[in-house]
Amino acid sequence: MNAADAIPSAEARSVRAQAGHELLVRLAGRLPDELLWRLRDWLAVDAHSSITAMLPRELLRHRVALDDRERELLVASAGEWGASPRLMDAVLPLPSPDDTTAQFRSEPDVDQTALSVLAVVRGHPGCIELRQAWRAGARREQRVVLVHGGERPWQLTGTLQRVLRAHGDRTPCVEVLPPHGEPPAYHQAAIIGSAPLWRSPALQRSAEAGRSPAMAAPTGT
Amino acid sequence: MTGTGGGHVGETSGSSTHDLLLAMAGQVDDDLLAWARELVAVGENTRAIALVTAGVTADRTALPAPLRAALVTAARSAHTDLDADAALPEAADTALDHRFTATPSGGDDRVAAAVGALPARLLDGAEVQLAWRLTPAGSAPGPLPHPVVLVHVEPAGRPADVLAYQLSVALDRAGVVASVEVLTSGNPVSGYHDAARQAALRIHGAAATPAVAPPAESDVEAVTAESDAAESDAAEPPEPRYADLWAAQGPFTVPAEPSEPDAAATDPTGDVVRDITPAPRPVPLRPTRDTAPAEPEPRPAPRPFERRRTTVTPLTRSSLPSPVPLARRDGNRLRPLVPVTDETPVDPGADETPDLQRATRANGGDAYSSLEQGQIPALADTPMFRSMQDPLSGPLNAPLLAPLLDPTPVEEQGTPADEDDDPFGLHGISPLAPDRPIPAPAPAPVEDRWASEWASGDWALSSSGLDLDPAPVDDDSGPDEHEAPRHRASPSGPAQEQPAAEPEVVPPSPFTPRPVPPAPLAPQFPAAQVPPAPIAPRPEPPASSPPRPGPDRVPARPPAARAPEPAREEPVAEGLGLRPDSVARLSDADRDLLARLQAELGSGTRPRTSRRAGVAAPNGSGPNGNGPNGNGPNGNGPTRNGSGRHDPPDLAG
Repeated sequence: MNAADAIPSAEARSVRAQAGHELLVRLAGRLPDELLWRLRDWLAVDAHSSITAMLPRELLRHRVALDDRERELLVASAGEWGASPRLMDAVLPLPSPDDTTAQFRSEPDVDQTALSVLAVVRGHPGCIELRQAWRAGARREQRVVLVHGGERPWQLTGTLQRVLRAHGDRTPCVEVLPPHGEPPAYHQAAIIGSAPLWRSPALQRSAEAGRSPAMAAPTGT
Repeated sequence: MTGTGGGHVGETSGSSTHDLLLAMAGQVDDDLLAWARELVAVGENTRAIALVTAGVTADRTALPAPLRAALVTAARSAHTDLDADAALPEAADTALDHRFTATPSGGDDRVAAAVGALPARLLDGAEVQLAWRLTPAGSAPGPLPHPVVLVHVEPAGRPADVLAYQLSVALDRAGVVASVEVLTSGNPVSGYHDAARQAALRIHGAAATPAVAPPAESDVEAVTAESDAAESDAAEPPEPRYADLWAAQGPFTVPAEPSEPDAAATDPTGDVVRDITPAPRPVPLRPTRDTAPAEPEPRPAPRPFERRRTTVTPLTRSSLPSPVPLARRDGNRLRPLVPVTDETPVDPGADETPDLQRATRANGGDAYSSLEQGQIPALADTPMFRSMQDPLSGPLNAPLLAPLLDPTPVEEQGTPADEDDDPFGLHGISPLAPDRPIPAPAPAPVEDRWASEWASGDWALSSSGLDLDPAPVDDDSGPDEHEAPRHRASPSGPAQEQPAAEPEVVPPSPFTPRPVPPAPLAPQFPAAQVPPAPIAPRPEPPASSPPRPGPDRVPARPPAARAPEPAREEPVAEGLGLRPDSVARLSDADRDLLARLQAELGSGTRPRTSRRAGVAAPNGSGPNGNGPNGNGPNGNGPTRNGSGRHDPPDLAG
């Protein structure tokens, strides 16, 4: 067992972290921001035990239902990290993707916080586009940062979250989306309501070549 | 499940959990701690413990051994999913050194105002202090400085966790982000809270302890001493704290907000605000200070601005000479900053008194002198200003005209009138040769060569005779011979009139090596042609030379120099098909014309030969000395070009 763990260690950890990141991205808007950013922060620092201890119970506490894909991701991440199978099985199933009620809007002004985020995103490999939206809330609006692409997205998420925290965002919402695939409904709404902050030259070249990136599809709708 | 656990733990458990979370202050981020305290207050101790344990584990925070043991115990009691003993980092006794300071300024009274706005019953019997933490807490800290509200309650009062939760929520709803630490009197105080308490200012408390008279300097210590009289005297000196305060003040731009009279009356922050006087923010709560003697100290702030004014003022004064002539006077690069730098060292001395400053302005002669030296302010260094300040520098210094002016002696004499004699730019465009292109930038060598040939009279000979040394001619030439007069005299008519007019018009010039006037030369050519070998028996040709007006003006050439000429001239005469006797019958004018024609044909290698041959005949000897070729349809030909430097061959020839 030790030998099996040692061989795929780096790759397996990356796969698990990728699964955990994708799951946490899918849980945006379904778990409280104050919890979700901490789970992502713990994932960024490889605090898998903390995630294992908190994520299943929080899913149960908030009655968050998971679809099959999300359940696979939960098992591939928290399950591999030692989460209780019983707790994971107790999570409610989700027959169909849930729609979102979140409302987003864009703001033309770019503040220093956005510039700080931009500085990080531009230097991170694999990033294609950076957008920003403001989600309507009961008491205040919440900034939502959308990043398209990026290697090791969980680490990029943790970095951007801490940058936002330092700028006063107590519950940073950073959504680093994969370069391919259809984003969830929450992120589609966020993309539609967002404003672009930066686009990589690769994106511009692909746009000129007629190949619409994954993020550009919902944007155009 | 949660209720059971919480119920099992009971009140003592909530109290101990709160104490545990109090001890965790500064070890984890403030939001996590506030969330955990909220959970404890609402009865979710298990979740609170699990959350804190997970956070400390993720942050890899090395807790002190007692604290780590207490957390492990609490986690086991709460039956968290995380094995705290295995997950938590090893204990370490290295305590975090957190630094606190008092309220940065009166504008940051929003926290105090929010506390003062809380319901009276919420703070009944409690004493509230405010400190600002300058050091981060946790792995994902928020902005600094972070306000920490210290609430001192009596043991018999309300539960500390509940009060902490309610105060935290109330402040959060008021838009204030602050940590609320409820300390129960009699309980041991951690180092974190002790440090915060030493630097804290009391913003709410019993009426018997107001900061009636704001202390002069050690305001922080004095206010702290009211609540902790025994321990606050050894507080850190205010100097470094204020330095830190300024360093960390950036993100806070909270406007001053007058709080309730209660808070305002007991607000001792006025003393702190006083020390942060340089901040240009409104400070309504700050008491008026009577530190008039300190007024001159901050005065130096506007001095630099006044210094700048002194730099600009000389430029706006009417006595200042216009920068345009200065720029024209100095064609070098404009160095705009020199006046400023020159004047700057003068100003510090002028800052002493206004009189001195005035004296400095009066001494602005330095700036003027520097300006007169061609040093223009930085604004003048733009291309547009350069063109505005030096409008005439181009015509005066334009290098494009230099090649046209250089060949003329007028240019060398520096007579500007001659430079403006061609306002239409017709230099080089002679009416005699309309199709002639503008002379090349360096025509002087060609003309010089032609003039020397003309003066020597060799042009009338064959090309082989051009190598005659014109030096004797040059030596004989007087100073009254000039090239330009020939140009002026040429349109006047026959070449014979030129000798009389030239010396009077043109001043002598040492640069004119062409002393031979055309008129004396004209009769000389037949003389040069007559002596050829076939005509040698006849003495007439040599006899015809004496009538020349030359001897007084142009001495006759030495016979030795002319000896070879007849031999060379012979083929020319033969080429014309003229016999010597017929040549001898020609008049002087005819011989002159004939000589020119021969010269034109003989010197066929010169580019102007053909033109001059076509022009010289009517001009030189024809009746239409002022004919179409003389003045041309433009009417500006020779007269305009009287001083023209480029057409002597055409006009004079």
